[in-house]
Amino acid sequence: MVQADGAGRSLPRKENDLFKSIVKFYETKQYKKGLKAADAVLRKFPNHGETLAMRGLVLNCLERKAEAYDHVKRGLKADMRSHVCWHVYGLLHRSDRRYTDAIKSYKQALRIDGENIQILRDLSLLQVQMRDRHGFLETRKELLRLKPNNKMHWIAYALANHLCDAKETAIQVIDAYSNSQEERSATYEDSELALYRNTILEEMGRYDEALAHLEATKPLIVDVRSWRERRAEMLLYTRRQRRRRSEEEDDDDESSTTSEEAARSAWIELLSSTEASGDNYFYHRGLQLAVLPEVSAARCREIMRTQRACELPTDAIELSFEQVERLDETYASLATRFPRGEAFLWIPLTYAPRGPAFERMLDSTIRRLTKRGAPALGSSLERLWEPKAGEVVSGRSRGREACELTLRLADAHVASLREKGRYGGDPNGGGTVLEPPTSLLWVSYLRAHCLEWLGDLEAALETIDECIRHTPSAVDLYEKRARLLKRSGDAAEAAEAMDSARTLDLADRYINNKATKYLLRAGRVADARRTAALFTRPEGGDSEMHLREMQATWYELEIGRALAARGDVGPALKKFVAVHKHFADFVDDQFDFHTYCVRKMTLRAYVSVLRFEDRIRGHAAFRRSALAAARVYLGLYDAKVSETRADAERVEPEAEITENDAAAAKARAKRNKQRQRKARAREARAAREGDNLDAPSADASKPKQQHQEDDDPEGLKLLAESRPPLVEASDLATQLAEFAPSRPETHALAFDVAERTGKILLAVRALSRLDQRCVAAKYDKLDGFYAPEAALVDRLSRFVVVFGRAALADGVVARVARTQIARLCGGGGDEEDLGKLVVAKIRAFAADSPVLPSRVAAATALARLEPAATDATAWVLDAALEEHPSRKPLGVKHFENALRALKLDIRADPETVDAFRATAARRFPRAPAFFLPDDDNNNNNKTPPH
Amino acid sequence: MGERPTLDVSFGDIHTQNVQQLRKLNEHTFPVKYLDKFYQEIPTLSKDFTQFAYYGGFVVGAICGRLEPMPDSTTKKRLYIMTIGVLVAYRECGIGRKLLEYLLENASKHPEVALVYLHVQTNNETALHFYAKAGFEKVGKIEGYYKRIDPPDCFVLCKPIHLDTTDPARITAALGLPTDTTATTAAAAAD
Repeated sequence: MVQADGAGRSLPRKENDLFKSIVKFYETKQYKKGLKAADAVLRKFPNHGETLAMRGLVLNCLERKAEAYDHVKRGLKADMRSHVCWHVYGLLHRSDRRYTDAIKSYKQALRIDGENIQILRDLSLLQVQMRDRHGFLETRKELLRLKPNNKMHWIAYALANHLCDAKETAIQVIDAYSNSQEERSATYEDSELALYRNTILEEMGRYDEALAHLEATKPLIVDVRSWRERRAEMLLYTRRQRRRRSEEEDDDDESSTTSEEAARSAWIELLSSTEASGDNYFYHRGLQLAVLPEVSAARCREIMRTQRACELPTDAIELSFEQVERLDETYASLATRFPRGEAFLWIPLTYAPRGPAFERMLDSTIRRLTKRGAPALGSSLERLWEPKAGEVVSGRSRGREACELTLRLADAHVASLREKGRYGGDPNGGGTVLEPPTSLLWVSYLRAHCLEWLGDLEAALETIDECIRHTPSAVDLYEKRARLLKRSGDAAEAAEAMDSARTLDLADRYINNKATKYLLRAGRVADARRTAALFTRPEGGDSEMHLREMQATWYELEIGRALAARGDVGPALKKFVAVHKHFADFVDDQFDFHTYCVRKMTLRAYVSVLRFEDRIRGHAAFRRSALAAARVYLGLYDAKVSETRADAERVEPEAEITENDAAAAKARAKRNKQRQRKARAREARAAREGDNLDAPSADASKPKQQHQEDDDPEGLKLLAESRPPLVEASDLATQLAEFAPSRPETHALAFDVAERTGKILLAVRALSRLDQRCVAAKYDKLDGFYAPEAALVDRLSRFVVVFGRAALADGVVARVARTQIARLCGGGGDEEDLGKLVVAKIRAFAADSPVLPSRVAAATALARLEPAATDATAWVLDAALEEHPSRKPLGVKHFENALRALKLDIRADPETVDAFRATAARRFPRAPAFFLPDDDNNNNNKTPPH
Repeated sequence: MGERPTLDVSFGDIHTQNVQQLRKLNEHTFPVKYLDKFYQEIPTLSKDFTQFAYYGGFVVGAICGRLEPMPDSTTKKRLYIMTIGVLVAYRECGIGRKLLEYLLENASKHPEVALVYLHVQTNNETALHFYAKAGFEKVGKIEGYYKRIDPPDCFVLCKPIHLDTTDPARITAALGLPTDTTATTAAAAAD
């Protein structure tokens, strides 16, 4: 890795040979021998910089970090003009994942020896890892210039161009390279390069060319499936592109029908290529679009690139009667050709318009799948009951209507199966043999699922109990029962039920995990730990450490929340931080692929990994852990503030603290605290660095993978070492803003931080983003709840409380803030009276969104500004009785939150609180949160599930 | 009404990981309750005579047989069927028969198994008919065998496997029954 050429400067021959041997020993991992050789040189030349540096590098591999850094630094001091020393320093940084520092060192080395291939190569890896795309391009260009006969340099240069969006150049480089090849054959490498080139053409929108290129390179291709998929996809786009052009030129396109036919048969061929490919929804998407030539090329490509899992073009496209017929015909003929392909029967149900035909289809789906024994049928049907944002709803049976229809059909079959042993209204008379007993079981199970979705949890429980009496050995049924109890608001009973389901099959990790999760939701942390430990490796050490090694993020998030809910801040933070570390590891895991993929020519996969890694922190697990950690930090900060305030009040009991003074006091307290914390953090950091010098850092020790005991189970060290809570929280808010910019909680958090730091413009920016960037969430009215707007009115009212006075000041800042807030309140009105504007906005929102969580947010916001207003509590009470006509009913959590808000935030009078409690108790009779204060003698200490 | 379908069941071992499913099955199938000791013993028994029957992925029936020493022989064993049960909803679909066949077929592969026997409550016509069809014969009756259910009496049914005698007296002796079939109480209880 380190080049010895021209190095070993000014050493006599013997020592120079020894120096070269150090490099060799290092590269062959013979570290002990390397040390010996270095010692031999240093005996005679104790200040030889490059030898010192190399000795440090070897020590680093022996996990002797402190000595390693010491040696390398001494080496550098002795020989600042040596590229070897700088290179080694870079390698050291890299091994500790300090990539930016490593890049600096490499660049320093290159300043001395600009044509050092090894250093250039190492630099390019770091640049692509850090996504310094243009730096990467420059370095690759230099490498290609220096060694144009190396094939990898061509490929990497093409790739660098592609990453920099210089696609045209990328194609040219690939072509230049390919043309220089004497003979091309169907090897993996040539095949992959051709397909890679093809994806670039596609990204440029040059579909005709891509298609022609596919045909031309066919003899080279070994990945035939990919080739066929690409061809089928290009056929979708080209004919549309051509047709559009011909329409523009008013030209008759004769090839259009034949190419439509070609596209269709290409997709059908793919669907029928293997047993499993009939269930490949990517192929189904292609087929649907091939059957719907009306859809534009751009829209086709968008659908093909963005739809996931079982999503279909017909979910998002309104269909004419004639189009439905065309699709139906296609699927009908495929269903006869491939009788085992379930998707051909299922898919027509998902786009069928409302009406008797749809009902017949739904009925036959229920028969077919319950007969086969499909517990997931209800979940599959939920895509009809709960259409996602952007899906076509009009003209189709969706929402409650679809669920109620399913329930009606299931009811009829349950009755008939019980009575006659046959499905109801069996069209064929059912033959002489009766249905197997499982048909009744699964229809009843579906019935329970419908009832659950419709919010009739008691009836669902009754139904599931019938199922259990029918087949008492089926774990799935107990799992469902536990879930129903959870939805009824009884977390404790739910945990009991899931745990007893677990005992039925001790070898089933799935049910074990479920039981763990339910125990955590019920606050039984110790039991949950024990349960989770059952599926960790018994032979070594701490099961919590093992779960961390396995990157079990779901577990860490759940246990972190459970710990945070009961105030165990340190341990909770530890879990959230662990999730963050996993993501850092995921990003780091790319590193090896930078060389590997280019060498092995797996370019398509490589580019898609890079793009995936760019977005990885947008994953829900990252989002949730960041948010949860930030909330913990904010809680810590608030606790400190109120502590300080209490101290201040003790000293000056006469000092009255008004709202705005409180904000100032907060800021003062914060500054003091920050100063203290900074000092403490400095100490901690010094101590930590001291530690690091002896012990290998956590990351470096990773390859050892030994089961160590956790040295900080309470997270005390973590808390001591972290920066002031507001700094940590604001750091997390920044990360969320980058990786989850369209989530309302991101900007709500940004506001919550700004509110505490007293930064008015940041607060305003957070509010505007909440309004503008969460458009998708805004229209995602799954339960008729406008999450971004609810967060917005809540924060607007807090803005008035915290920044109200500041916003009235003179100057640009205050003016900008005023204008923005007024705009967020719907414009118009007097900018000088923000309180009034916000109150009007709150009232408008409450009127517009009559569902409970919106009303709770509005009422909380109103109570904050106008404590005397009486309509706030009425909003909540009305909403509690309201039922959305077509949506899934609200879950118990919304009611629990509402009750808490009524008591603590809205400060409603006891009668109102009790009226709400009674309403909630009627809907959720099992939920301890709504028991009369008299009956909950056991439930006082129970924290409601979050 | 049509005829009940014959269900295509598969068999699976009963081990400590899934023995609680047997408990659920028994609780919903038999009028008597078995003690924890029973469920601890089952996973230790030979899988040749102790099996679950699965249909559609779930346990729908089970047979639990135990090899016991013969009082009058050192080489021969007798095979006692402790329980054979099929969930109510899955009855009359041939599952019990298949479980019994499984056990009998394995028994015939074990030369030391002299006979198979079991107890049936005297009023259980269905069971008596079921075993008669499988070649079992009544060899005795024990009064007051059951403690908590009525009638408390049971028949002892037996089917010879590798038996070197046809002498009914030897059989009743092997089962520890008095030669007089209207014998008095036996000590054993269902659990």
